[in-house]
Amino acid sequence: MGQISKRRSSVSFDYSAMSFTPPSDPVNRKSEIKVSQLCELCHCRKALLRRPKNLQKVCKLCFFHVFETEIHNTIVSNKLFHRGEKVAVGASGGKDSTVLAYILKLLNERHDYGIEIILLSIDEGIIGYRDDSLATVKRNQVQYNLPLEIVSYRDLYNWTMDEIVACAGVRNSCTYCGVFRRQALDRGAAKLGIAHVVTGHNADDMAETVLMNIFRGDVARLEKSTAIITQSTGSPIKRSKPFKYSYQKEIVLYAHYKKLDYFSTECSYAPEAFRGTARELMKNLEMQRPSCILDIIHSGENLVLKPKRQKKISPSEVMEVRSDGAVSLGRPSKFVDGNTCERCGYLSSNKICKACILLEGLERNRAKMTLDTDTSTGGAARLTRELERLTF
Amino acid sequence: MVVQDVCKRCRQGQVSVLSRKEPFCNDCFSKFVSAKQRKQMMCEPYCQDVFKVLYQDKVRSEAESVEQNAHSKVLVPLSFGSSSVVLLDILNDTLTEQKETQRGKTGFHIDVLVCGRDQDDIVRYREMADRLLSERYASNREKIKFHFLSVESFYKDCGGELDTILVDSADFSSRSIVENGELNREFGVEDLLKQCPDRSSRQDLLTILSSRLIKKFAYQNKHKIILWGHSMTKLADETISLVVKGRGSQIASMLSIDECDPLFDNSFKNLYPLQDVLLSEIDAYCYIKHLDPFMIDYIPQDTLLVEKQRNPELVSAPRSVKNLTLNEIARKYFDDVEADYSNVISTVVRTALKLGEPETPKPERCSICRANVHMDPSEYLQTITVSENHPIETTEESALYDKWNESQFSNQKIENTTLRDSIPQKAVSTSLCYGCLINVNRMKGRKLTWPQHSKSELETILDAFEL
Ligand SMILES: [Zn+2]
Ligand SMILES: [Zn+2]
Ligand SMILES: [Zn+2]
Ligand SMILES: [Zn+2]
Repeated sequence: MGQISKRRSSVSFDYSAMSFTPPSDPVNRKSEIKVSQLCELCHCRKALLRRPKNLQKVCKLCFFHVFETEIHNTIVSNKLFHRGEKVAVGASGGKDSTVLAYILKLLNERHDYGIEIILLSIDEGIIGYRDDSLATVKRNQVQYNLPLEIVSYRDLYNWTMDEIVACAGVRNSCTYCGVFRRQALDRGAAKLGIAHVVTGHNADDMAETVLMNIFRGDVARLEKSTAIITQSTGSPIKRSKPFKYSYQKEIVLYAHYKKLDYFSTECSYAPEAFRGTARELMKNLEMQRPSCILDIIHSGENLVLKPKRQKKISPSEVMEVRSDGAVSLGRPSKFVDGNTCERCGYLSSNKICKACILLEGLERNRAKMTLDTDTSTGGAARLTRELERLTF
Repeated sequence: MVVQDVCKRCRQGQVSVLSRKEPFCNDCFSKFVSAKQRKQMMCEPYCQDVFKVLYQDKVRSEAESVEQNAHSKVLVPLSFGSSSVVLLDILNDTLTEQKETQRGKTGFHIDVLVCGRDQDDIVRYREMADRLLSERYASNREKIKFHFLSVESFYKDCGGELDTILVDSADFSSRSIVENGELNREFGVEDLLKQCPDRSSRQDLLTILSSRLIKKFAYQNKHKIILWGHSMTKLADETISLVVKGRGSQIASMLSIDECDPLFDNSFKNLYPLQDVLLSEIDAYCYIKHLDPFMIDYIPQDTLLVEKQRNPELVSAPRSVKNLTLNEIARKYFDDVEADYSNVISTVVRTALKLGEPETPKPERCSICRANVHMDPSEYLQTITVSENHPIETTEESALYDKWNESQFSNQKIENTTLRDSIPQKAVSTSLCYGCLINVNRMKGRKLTWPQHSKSELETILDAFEL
């Protein structure tokens, strides 16, 4: 018993070291196994962990089996792939995308999906974070024998994330990161002639998004927040989330028991405070009822808006950079087929795409910054004031 | 904190409440709360016709207006918490006002329904109802009636047979068996609660069954509207709790004011007159209007009052999150964020009011909560929660399996799982919504006993007594 709990408590590992040594398994002395210690699924091996999803006591092999099968079921029942499809895994070196790359390769071979998997990595240019994680992706490339392609923010936008943060403030980094990363993956994929990008978004992310959309009253996103496949009309790139129903804790456990090599540090720019409160709420709910992550997703899948009374004409996409540099992105009422950004030629429902609008703000600001360097009157405060005037 | 001395609205009253960043005097705050409730009561034509004093006009004759005023009965479920007591008090004020301005006439009358778990509850509630009637509603006595009902009526007055609903642990399918006579007579709410694994599921089931009782009472007594006491805060945590329990698609029907309740022959509407008032505001109103002595098992919070109450009971020991129900966790969340993100509660309620029901042609109804079932939850769960095992690989494992097979553990498992084998003919497949399936799946023995739904269930008169 003591052995089980010890194993369980050591779930998070630090694999940040550049060289990788897999953890070793404890030696199982089978003769001493009591019936009460057996796996609740196979009844023939010692239970090693409690599944975070339903608290079932299971052995390692059964855990692998159910975890993998659930993802396979998700892929099949949602028809995520078709034979001959080229699929890019958005690889960050983090646990979600590492496990995703590993599992897709495994399932592709086991169930003969007939897909071609490519690792696609974005170098945002965050010193200390991306350096190490890119090294992890490069090791994954060798370990899983999958092709790797790296696209950098510098190449795409002429800005690194560190420069963006210096310019727009830490608090807004996730907005910028989100818009840029999303495009970067799509552009990278397009460049490689790949029409499908899979990402490691897991059930916890999904559930959190459902709650956040309700807390923020983000009606435009409410209905689609749990969609497993997203694709703008007319866009050549399809995105999907095979981990939609996989618990974060199980992904970590899987990576651990499979001794996968991943980079454990999360993005050094922490989520904004309000999202933090939702995360805390989720933690409390999951403690009370483990199934609630799936329950929330199920609810999210069934949230629909009342038919609108024909009163207001919905405004076309509005984007605004607020006084604190935060960005609110309006939603296009309808994606107009085949529209492209005037500046970069990337698909966009508006004349100018989100990334280009953000870039314009940044560029103006960079000009201000260089002008302001000699005036010592409070750089940060000044910067904020300058950002206040940025409206589009 | 710097407090302004003079109320911003009337510019003379002394400030006693701070709400939504505004300082109020007692009078102005009472008006503020009461106006919000009255606005909801007049929110659309159906409700206006019920509450207003009607006179002869283009659409109705004199006789018809008298008749309509007399038949405008509304039902107020009363829990003796702050919200329902405040709701009732404002309704009483409305009656008084109508009598004063409409030469003694009123547009409606009120039936108050009090549900108790046991006889002790009922005795306490009855005493308090007596006090309310004599101390506060004496002048409107003929317009306000109290009714008392035991939750046991849920099984006792269900007019038919009970079903035991079972969930298969392997494929999450649900089946029901008609219970034999003995269980039919003896099964009660306490038996049901005993099968629950935790407070959350007890609360969930109690909410479902008392709401069923209240609505059935309204149906049988021809009420036009049920006035629920829910504050904005309560609606927000109910919304989040429904989402958390996998009942997201049921939010719309809970809040629907556009149509009458379709489960009860469209005979009444559900209204939440306090949906624009925060719980903290309702609690402040209780103190200002001296309603706090009429609460049972509830102490109003004094957070918005300038002058605190110095009630030692107000400072309750913080409970560990582990023991909270899902609703309580949601409530705690709103309490915690209210200071920093003041509009989250109203945003959640506003969002909830924009929700509709998924469009499913001819959805089945859940055998427990009667909600529309929009997708088969067992199929859904089966796909994403696999319970198949990795095969036996070695002789050692095979030996362990044999050992298990002979032990008492295997018997337990068989009893719980292979429904299909143990109850072959009598069990019929039954429809459950996702939320109820999750609930039953967590009950002891993965089963739950519930009245069958039928016309006779709806028509069997509830054994309530009147005060
Ligand atoms: Zn096993
Ligand atoms: Zn562009
Ligand atoms: Zn005043
Ligand atoms: Zn149900």
